[in-house]
Amino acid sequence: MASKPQLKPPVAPPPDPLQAEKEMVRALLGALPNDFMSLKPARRRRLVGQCLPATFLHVLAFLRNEAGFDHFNYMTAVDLRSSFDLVYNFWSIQKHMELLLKVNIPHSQKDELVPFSTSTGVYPAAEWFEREVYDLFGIDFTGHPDQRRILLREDWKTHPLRKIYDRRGSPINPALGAAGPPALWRTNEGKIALPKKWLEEDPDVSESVLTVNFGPHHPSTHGPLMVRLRLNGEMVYDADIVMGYLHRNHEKLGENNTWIQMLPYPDRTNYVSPINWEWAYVRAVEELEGIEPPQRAEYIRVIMAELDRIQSHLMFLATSGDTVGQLTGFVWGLRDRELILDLNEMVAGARMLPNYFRFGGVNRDLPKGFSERANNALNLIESHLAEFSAIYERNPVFLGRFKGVGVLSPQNAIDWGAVGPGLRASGVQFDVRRDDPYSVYDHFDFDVVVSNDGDNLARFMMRVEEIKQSISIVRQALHGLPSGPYQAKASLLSIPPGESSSRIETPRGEGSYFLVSDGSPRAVRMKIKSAAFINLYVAKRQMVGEKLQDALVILGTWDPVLGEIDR
Amino acid sequence: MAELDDLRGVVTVVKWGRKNSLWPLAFGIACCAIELMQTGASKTDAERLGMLMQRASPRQADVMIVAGTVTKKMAPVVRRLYEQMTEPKFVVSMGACATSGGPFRDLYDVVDGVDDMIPVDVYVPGCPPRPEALVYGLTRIQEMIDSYYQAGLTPGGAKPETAEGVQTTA
Ligand code: SF4
Repeated sequence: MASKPQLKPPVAPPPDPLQAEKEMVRALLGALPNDFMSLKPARRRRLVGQCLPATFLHVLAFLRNEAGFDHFNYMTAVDLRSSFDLVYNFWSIQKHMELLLKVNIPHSQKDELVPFSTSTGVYPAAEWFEREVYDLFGIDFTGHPDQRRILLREDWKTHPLRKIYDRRGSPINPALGAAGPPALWRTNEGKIALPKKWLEEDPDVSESVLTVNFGPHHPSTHGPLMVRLRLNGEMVYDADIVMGYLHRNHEKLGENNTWIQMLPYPDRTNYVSPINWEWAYVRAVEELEGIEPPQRAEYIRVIMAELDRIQSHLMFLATSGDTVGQLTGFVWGLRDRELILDLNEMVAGARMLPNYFRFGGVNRDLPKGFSERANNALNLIESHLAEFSAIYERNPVFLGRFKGVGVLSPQNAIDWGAVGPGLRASGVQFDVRRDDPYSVYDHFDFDVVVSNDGDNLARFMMRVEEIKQSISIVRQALHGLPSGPYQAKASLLSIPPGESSSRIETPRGEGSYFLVSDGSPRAVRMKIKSAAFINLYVAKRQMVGEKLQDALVILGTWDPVLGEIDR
Repeated sequence: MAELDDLRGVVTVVKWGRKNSLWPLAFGIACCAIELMQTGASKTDAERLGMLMQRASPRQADVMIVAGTVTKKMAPVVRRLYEQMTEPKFVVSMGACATSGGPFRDLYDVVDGVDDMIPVDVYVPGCPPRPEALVYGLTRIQEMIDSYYQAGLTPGGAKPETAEGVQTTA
């Protein structure tokens, strides 16, 4: 029997995927005078704009005060040989939109300071980023509150990320650059400049305060980091953080190694959560190439990245115990972490730095029996979380150090640029996995944990709750793991020219790789936006006004990893 | 003054103790430090070799485990910590970075191997070495101490430890 011909419903034109972005561009440009800024949508939830140095500060103030781009992600410079591109990245927590703003300033090819205006007046979070750009590129930010070297030794004369220097820091053409690295580094600690504010201080104040120095070799700084505190009695009057003791030049290396050669390095950028950082790098390259990994690969990535988050948070629980002298928690955290390291080993062959992701997929498929073993490990970790809460949350000594201490208000958290669990602990709803979803995170059902307390305990509990959420995500992903290929075809060497910036919710917050390619086998610029770097800045601001013994606990709750901070 | 014969027993105990209670300086710099922590944790448990894994002060440490990449900013600090340790002292270079600069060799701020500044006794290869590898490296130090004594020498180049040389508090 012939069926009746059915009337097809009229085909609606497919909705423009960039509809919202285009509207936003129109609104923003409409509110600014003509030719202040050019702006266009780059992809979902990302706008890319360019403005002139003369209009830069107006545009910045407009973006912050009127357009709602309240969260400063990062800023950096790109050396284009005859000019610098300064790149600023903002995020609007309300509108869920990212904006990449570029300003081009010319420079002579010699190693001379190039002046530019500071953005710290509008975005306080830019302070350390500008110091970094000053240190590595030699851009002089006029009006910066405290401009001095941040990563390199004080006695460096050069700015080694400029293209006139090779990877060893020596000038390629001696006529252009100054002499390379300092000669006396073996034995001479050199002086470490004091903050400008301390030097200009009222002598009365200087007399009444005491400067206490921790590190760079100190057990509770979580790595080689120096903290200088000025104390007024027991209260921290001002704090200064000296970093760079683990500055391993990842960014210079990114310009000297081919794309595929760089694959093992994100692991070492943050060695406590290597897989999430691999993902950040791999995604940035995939964005340049325009490839989509197959579904199975995406699921495997989610599984591995969430296991990685659990492992990293367990490390946090362990080191928090260590910070307050709770060694049982320390050993327990490390014990449970082993379970996940074993899974890494099973999947990728290496326990700690697995180097598992590839452009367009993963290195190999999940081995037989993985899902069973992963489920067992998760069950065990889940049951141990209750024990953790017994020794932490129900422990009056621990609570005394954590509860109600180091409260951070949501406004300060946003202004100072905090990301990750620390930001959410202050009541700000922002998780890249949900707000700018990447990969297949929209397939899973999970909560973004938020707390309104903003104290040390809230930041601590955030990790415990996130472990629970991650366990649930891994279970869902293992359950729904699709079959199919685990690797898309991707080019390893010839990456098309362009720019990309990936955003990944790493265990410490949003991390991204900003890549500039000119089509050659090496990147023109590789910027790593570290979450721990900006969180350390928040911790530093937060220490002021707290008691001496609380300062290091506050530092600890931001989970610093020096490899990622110093890069 | 005690009789020499009595002190011989003390010397034996000192030698035995020196070999079997090596206290490492908790000196984590980079990624390798995480494996160093795991070495002291429950699975590998280096404490069963008499190594108390948490010595924050160089004065109380016998072995310095350089776990990570040494940069030019950190180098003088490493050197100073080494000088602050009391004799006899040993250095383990853990991982490719401390040994030769490893994956970060030939970069502007990276020291190509810590043996540029301080003498190294045992190199543990790997990036990062597994905890088992580090434990093996540490047992090599114990063997080294043994072999010094068997050859009638004192480890670390301090004065020969004859019965006369041992200081008693009495
Ligand atoms: S050897 Fe490898 S794991 Fe160890 S510090 Fe160097 S890069 Fe990190």
